[in-house]
Amino acid sequence: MIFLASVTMLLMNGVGIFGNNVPVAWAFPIINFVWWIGIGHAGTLISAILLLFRQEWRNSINRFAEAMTLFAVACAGLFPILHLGRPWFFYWLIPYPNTYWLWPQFRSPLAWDVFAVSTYATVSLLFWLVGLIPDFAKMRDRSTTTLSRYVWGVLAMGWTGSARNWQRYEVAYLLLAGLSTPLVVSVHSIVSLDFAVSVMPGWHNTIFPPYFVAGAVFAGFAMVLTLVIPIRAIYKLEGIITMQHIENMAKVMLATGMVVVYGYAMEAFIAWYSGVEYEVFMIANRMFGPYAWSFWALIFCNGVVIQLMWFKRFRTNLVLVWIVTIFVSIGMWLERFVIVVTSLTRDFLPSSWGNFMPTFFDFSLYFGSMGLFFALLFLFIRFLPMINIFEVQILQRNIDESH
Amino acid sequence: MTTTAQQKSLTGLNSVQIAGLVLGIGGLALVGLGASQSVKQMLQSYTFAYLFWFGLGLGCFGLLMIHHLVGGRWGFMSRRLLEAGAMTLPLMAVLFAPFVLGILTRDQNITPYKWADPTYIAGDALLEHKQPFLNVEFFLIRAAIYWIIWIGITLMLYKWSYDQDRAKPGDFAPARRMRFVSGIGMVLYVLTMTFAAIDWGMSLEPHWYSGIYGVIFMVGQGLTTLAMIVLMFALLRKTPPMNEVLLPVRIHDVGKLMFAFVILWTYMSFSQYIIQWAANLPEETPWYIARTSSGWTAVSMFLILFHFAVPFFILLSRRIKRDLSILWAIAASLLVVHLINMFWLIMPNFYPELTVHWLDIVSVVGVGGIWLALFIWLIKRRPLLPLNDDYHDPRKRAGGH
Repeated sequence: MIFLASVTMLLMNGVGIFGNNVPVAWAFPIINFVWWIGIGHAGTLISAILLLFRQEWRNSINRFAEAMTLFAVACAGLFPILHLGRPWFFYWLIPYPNTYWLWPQFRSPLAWDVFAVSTYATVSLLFWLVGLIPDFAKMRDRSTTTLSRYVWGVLAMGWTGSARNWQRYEVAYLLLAGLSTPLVVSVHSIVSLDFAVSVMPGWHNTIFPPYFVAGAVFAGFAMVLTLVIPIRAIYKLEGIITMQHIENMAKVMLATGMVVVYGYAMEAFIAWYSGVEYEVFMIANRMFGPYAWSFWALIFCNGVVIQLMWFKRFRTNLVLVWIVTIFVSIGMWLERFVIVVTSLTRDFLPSSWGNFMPTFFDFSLYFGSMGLFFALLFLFIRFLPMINIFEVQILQRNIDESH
Repeated sequence: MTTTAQQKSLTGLNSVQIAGLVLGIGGLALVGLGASQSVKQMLQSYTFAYLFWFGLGLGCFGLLMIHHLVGGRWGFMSRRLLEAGAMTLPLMAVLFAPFVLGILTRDQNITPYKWADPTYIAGDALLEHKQPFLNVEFFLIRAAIYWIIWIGITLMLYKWSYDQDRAKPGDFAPARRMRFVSGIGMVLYVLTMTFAAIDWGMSLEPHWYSGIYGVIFMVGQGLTTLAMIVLMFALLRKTPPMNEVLLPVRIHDVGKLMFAFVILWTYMSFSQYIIQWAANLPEETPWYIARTSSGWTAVSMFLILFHFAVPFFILLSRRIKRDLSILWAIAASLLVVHLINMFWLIMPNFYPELTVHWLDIVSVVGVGGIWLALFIWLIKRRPLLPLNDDYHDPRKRAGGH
């Protein structure tokens, strides 16, 4: 509701309701965009990359993680569009032949974003839907009313469960996994290029692409854990989402978190090492300037808190893991805040320095997008099989056979 | 420890070892001869050759720790090779001596590290700013720290691996210790290797900087190491007990990893390129200008084609990734191409025009020969597969993947 109201206000009044100003022309919208899109990445990573690595433990959490990806990407996609100023012309970003002779600027990574994110959303959706087909068929066969049989029947696309069906399914699923894997990397790399190809101090660093990708996976795994831990408790899924899953995810979170910390270290070191006065000033300003609180809070959330995950005792403490994931989510949001705001408020010329103060609508839109995310997620849990039925059946059979 | 059957089939390795030793001693003798003509040229060539071969030792070290951390049967089969590779590091520390002797002269007409010369940095604001980091004493201290960490952890892992061979079945203490040290070791490896890459590679061009440089080095080390593993598999595939475990499905795993590293190398290198190209800053672009002018353009194009495009499309094929008789050729070509990549990374600092000095070649042969001889000698010292690693041994654990 807050989200709808805020969007309405935005459409009526324009982007002036944000705290954005010159020099901070990019603020909450891009921070939120990067945050959401990063969260989405864990879903694809879990489904696609772990499938390629034959990590079968993924099978009970992949469906859920993929759904999370889709909803996070949906939330992410809204922010740049709402920030356009005239959001109803968003389709101008797509290079279609038109009588205005209007083309996007192909040399700008912002235009690449449009392609990267829309491709990513499409492939993720396909991947999710293809994975659901056997389960849709199961729902169809079990449904009691005509309407539900009809709906599930359409979605199942005539699945009969024959050997040929399964063989085609396996091939298609593997190919989609292969397609999604580079997309995980490309989307966030391009997001990082939004910053890195500029000459802005604090944005221009060659470590950005891998460091952003790791950050995305980091935030995404944190979000999966944030959601899975309560859902597992509420729906009593301890037998399917085991402690092993939680621990593995915590380990991935630790590993990617360490990469992110490496990114911060390289950012700081290279800024100093470059010897360029703007870079040297930028890093000092980040650490000790007016927004220093956000930098140190970020280091605490992403650098210090996750060190707990080294220890098995803490990884198996669900409440603690859950708290850590909240810290990570906050930390990853702060990371983008630090990058965007500290660089933009104090860049090359002291005469053009400024300040940034978020407004009510910045926050309402951000929290509103979380509402949208959770609404979609709960609809999903309510209506669709949130755990892959047939893959769990296969796992179950393997376990039975081996005992 | 080795059985007679194994001994017999290891004779193939002996010839490689002897060839390596002969070429190594001969090559290093020629390097010494070259030094009598021009120390500067010799050090330049040596830097390039050394960074390539040393990368194999360190790549083995890194992959070994990754295996201890995440498991996987590809690692079980390659563990002894990785351990042998990591154990070449003490030798590489000795071979590091020319770097030390060169930089101690503090003379830009001798050492490739021009910033060590006070006359070179005088009046250059950027280099004076870097003085707290780029100075001879700190450079040597850092190098000492890297070597202590690398060799110390390697010795621990090597020793415990031996303990594991002798342990009673069901005794997981050595495995647990190796895993514990690898966790810390991996963090230390990434940090030290990043700074080693900055010290030994990036600072050759002291104005230039790039945050991703250390990562590019590490990815290169992983790639060459995997390629070397594939070559050794090809050499050992008929040898018991390797012939029992080198099934197509396992080869496939190593092939996939090699494929992934080809893509990673491309990704990292391209990221650096596009970011520096787009920003076009005066501190950064000269590095690429040097590599895209005169004959170097051709090398750049060659690398795009043969370090990325060709191996990428070949390795897409599942059949090739499972077949050692083809895969070894790709691995060998990747080693050569990565050597050229190292040449491209290091040498444009010294040669504005594309040239190859005879010392470049003999340095590669000299350092490489010695490295290879030691590597094979180490492989022969222990059983080719870990003896009591029940968890990862595919022969002892039915089913699964």
